[in-house]
Amino acid sequence: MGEFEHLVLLTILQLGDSAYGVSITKGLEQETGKPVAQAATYLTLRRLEEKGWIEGSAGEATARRGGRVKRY
Amino acid sequence: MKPPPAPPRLATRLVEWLAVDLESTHVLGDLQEGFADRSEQVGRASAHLWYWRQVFLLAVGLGGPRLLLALSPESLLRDVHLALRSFRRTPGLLVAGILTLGIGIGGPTTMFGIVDGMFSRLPVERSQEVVSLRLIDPVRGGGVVVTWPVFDAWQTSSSNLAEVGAYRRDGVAVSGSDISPTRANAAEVTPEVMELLMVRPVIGRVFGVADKSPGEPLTAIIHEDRWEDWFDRSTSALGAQLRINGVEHTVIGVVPTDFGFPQNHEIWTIFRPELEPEAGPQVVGRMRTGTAVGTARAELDGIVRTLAASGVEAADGARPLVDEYVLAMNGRGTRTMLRYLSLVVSFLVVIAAANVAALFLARGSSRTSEIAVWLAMGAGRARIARQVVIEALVLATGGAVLGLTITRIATGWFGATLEARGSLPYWAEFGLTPSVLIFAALLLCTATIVAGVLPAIRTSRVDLSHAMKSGTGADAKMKGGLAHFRARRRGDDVLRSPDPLGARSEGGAGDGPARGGVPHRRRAHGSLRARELRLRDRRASLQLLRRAGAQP
Repeated sequence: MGEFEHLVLLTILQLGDSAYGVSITKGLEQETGKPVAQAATYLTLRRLEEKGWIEGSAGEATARRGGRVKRY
Repeated sequence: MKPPPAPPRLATRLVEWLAVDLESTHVLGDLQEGFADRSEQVGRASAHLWYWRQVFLLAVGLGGPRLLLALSPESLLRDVHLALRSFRRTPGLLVAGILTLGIGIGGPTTMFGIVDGMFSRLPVERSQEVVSLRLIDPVRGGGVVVTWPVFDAWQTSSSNLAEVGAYRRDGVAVSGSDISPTRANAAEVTPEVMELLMVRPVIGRVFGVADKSPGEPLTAIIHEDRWEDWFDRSTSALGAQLRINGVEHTVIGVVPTDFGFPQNHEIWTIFRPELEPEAGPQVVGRMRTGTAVGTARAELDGIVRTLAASGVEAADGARPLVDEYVLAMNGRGTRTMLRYLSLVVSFLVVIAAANVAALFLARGSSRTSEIAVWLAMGAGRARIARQVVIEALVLATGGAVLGLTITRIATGWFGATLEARGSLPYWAEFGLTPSVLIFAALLLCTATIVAGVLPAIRTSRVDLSHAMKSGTGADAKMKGGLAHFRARRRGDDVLRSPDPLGARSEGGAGDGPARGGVPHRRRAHGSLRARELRLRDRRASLQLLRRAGAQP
């Protein structure tokens, strides 16, 4: 597992049930003190999911997201 | 409450295309949320920049694999399978489309095949170096006879031409001890002609310098086909006597079937200018490797001017023409003209494809409910558009196969007709040559684009809610499709597969309720009960759709 994958996994554990793309990226930025590209988060989440470390589930949709669902 | 700022539409479209169908929903949601946050914190311009940066990074990260996935043989095969399934319901469109595109592709390809066949290269190494050398009168525009002094000067003085040879064609009467008198196409050639054309005899030898010496016995070379006809491929042919125009010639060699210089000739004798000094020769040469036609022409022009200055007859005022041999034999400028003509004829495929596009559009309006099910199952617009383009590709491929069959038959017939008339050049090669196949492939691509793109755009613009409200059986199909979607969703995450449509087709559940829904609607049509049933159906499907959108 890569360093960034490790960080993402720790952030997910920290966030618990409220971990989704935006919150994970914000958490990573807070932890590392550096800007993190949301695209990097998605690609890492996808890799972690493929490796079986995490599992996603669809969440609620909000107007701020253009009515699109979250994926926790 | 003020609505959140909308992110750049083009970038959003790009993410929709890049991200796997279901992923695009939450990825776009996250991006829009981030965009809204940044718009409030740092302003719209920075938010735009941030959004585009994320899309670019996603494009790099997802685009490559996605493109590979889209072009993978498995993915394409699955799409083709789906397309064939959809054509099974509309066999008329399949037949009409293939016939239309077959004619649209076959016509121009046949034209191109004939032009390409007539202008094939000489079957000899570095054939582009073999050139025809002529003289023209620049004032009158006609040809001028190349006299022997001019020929000799070109042969001896040119540094850009490796070999220069002379020839003259004629129809002759041939007979022999076991050969009944017959007519044949013959050519008188100087030994250099055989050398510059790199002729390798099947048996025996080709002409040498000694053969043209006065006093030497007259010799002849025959074509492999004649060797088979007259001597049954026996080596006893060498040394046999042939009476050509009443003069005895000794056969010294047999040349292979792919040789017929100057056009479709089968007997060659040595050119002896001393026998008919007044008859001017036709001249052929081989340029040195790397020499341009213009350079060779300029040099020959200089030689002709020198000869004219020294008072040599027939050189005064004449200008040399140097052309690639095949171009000169088919007529200067003819190839360009015929290629333009082929291009114009190629528009036939655009017309044919436009007709097929109209058929697709007409079919698209009756597929609204089907497309609505696809959308409800999570297929993006790009995925639907891709499927329609694949359907056009399937039709175009069928059309190309038919078109190539037409081309094969038509060019074969053309070649056979020319051969029967004795005017088929030996370099002509008709049939499905690589260049003909490439041309047909280009037409196939054009047909796919013209026939598929507009219907793809129109079909993918189906409004889900509108499709549901229109009472065209969509309700029942939607119910079936959504029920199947939800059932599969519970079992395995079908929408995460790159092909949600494939999942539908595999199960076939979407078809079942659709077929069941139609008679139900027909039974109920026109009665109060029917209206009640339709309203109930519509309400149920709307609830299903709402739940499908809000729940995992």
